[in-house]
Amino acid sequence: MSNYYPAEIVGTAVLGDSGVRQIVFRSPSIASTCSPGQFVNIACGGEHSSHILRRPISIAGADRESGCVDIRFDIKGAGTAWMAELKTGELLDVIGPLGKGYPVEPGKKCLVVGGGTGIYSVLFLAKVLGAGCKALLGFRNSSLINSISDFESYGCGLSIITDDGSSGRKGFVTELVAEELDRGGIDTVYACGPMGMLKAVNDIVGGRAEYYVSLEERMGCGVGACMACVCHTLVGYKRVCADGPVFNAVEVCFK
Amino acid sequence: MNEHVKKDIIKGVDLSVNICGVNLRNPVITASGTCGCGEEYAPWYSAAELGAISVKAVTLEPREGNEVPRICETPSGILNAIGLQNKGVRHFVEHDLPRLKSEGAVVIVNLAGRQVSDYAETASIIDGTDADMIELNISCPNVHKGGMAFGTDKNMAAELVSEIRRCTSKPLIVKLTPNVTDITEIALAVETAGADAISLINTLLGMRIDIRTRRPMLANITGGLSGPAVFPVALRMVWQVKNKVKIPVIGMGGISTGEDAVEMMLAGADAIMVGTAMFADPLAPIRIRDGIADYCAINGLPAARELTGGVIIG
Repeated sequence: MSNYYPAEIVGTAVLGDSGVRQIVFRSPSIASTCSPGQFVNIACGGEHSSHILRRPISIAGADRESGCVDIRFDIKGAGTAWMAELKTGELLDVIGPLGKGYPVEPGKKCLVVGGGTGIYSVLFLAKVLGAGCKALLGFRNSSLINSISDFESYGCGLSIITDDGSSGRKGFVTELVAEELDRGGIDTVYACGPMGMLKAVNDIVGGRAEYYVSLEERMGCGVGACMACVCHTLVGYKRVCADGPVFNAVEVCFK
Repeated sequence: MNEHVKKDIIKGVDLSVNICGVNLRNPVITASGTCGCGEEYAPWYSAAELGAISVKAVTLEPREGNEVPRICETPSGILNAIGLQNKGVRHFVEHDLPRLKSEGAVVIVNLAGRQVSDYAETASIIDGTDADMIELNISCPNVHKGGMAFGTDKNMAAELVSEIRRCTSKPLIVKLTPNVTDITEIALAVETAGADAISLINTLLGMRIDIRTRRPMLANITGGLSGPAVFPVALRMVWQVKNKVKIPVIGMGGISTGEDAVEMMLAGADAIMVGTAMFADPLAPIRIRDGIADYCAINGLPAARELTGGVIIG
């Protein structure tokens, strides 16, 4: 069941040089029911806003005890630019948690793979999996690297790669995935990032592990009613917002 | 009045309206394509709390719909090109309709097609169910066969409506497109051909380009504009149509507040539909219903139906 009422913002931050914004808001009902891979849908622009569509943002973390929910996002347009100006104490018009998250089985050895803004959805997953997973993160360059200390604090292994080699190794996250899988012993791979990355990882996994992907698509209602955000699957179109955003990769038709 | 007939009385205001013999407990209907078959909005309200629900368009056979992206935001509006994705009329009749009826909803079946024959066959199937009304969709701008082609030609519109009239005894609403030179011509043609009511407007045909990629924002290139941006256009067309036809008119297009709904009824709407507003606020239909009651209570109107056509000209 989704909740819908204003949530008080209890903290905001800009994450290093990356320009990525963080908002932590208090919503005990969302914090106590959400799971990694789910998202919230945020109204932008305040009262009399000309922004009709909510912005779907994946949940980067939640704490049941404090009732706090953590979201992180890039400024991509007018809506997220407006969100970036919000201050502690202001109210966030938020619906959630929405969608189906990552299926987690205890005792499995996992890789969580994140590219770009996809790292926030797998950050929450890394928190739940802890030492049971290794996080493999790809960034375009060193200035965009963020949230690393959070991954470290969850006790998971961590490898970082940049497209231009400006920090750590040069290359794409897919190389890290290939190396880890070649070592063997991986049961499940979870990934969130650009479609090209998800498809490349799919080719690398090639049935050697369970593979779950979190897909992104422009959304309308966010609750499964309008059929705007569909993806191709083996059984036809499915709704990213309601049937996903997390899908078992075996059912996804990668373009 | 039949005491089993549901009517919402809020703040002492009778909100019920009657559309071609069907009682609606309030004048707020959720618009086709924006609320599926009601299930997704169940966390916020039951379809039975609405005046009626106009379900996502059904076609004779399942439809895949268009490629993505299917939606983009525009100032105070959205453009969409879903392309009538649905699982076909038989799936609807077997799965969705019984659930909606058992919840107590008044169900309007929005019906789309490619040609007269499949519209007619779908209508005949719906005729054999306990659906309350049919809304003939001759106004979808996002499919390449059928759809809006019927709604932009008064002769084709009339021919289709008279054929469907022969297929069903259910109240027949015809949903019109605003993408015409004179909407009253089409309205009169479908009234003469046997329509019991008219609903308007469907979306306005539009287009956006992403200047970074120089590609259209929608995979379908063009799409239908809805939301508050189209409200004045919708209001004008409802007013024009109401002045020409004798049958009930259901007004829609950008209604997002109780005040908008009141305005639409003053322009001549007997009931109103809410669509895009639900994307911003899932509770919009309930908020709008209550807003109509507030206005009537403050202005001493005992019944919301008294708003219809109440605009003062001259």
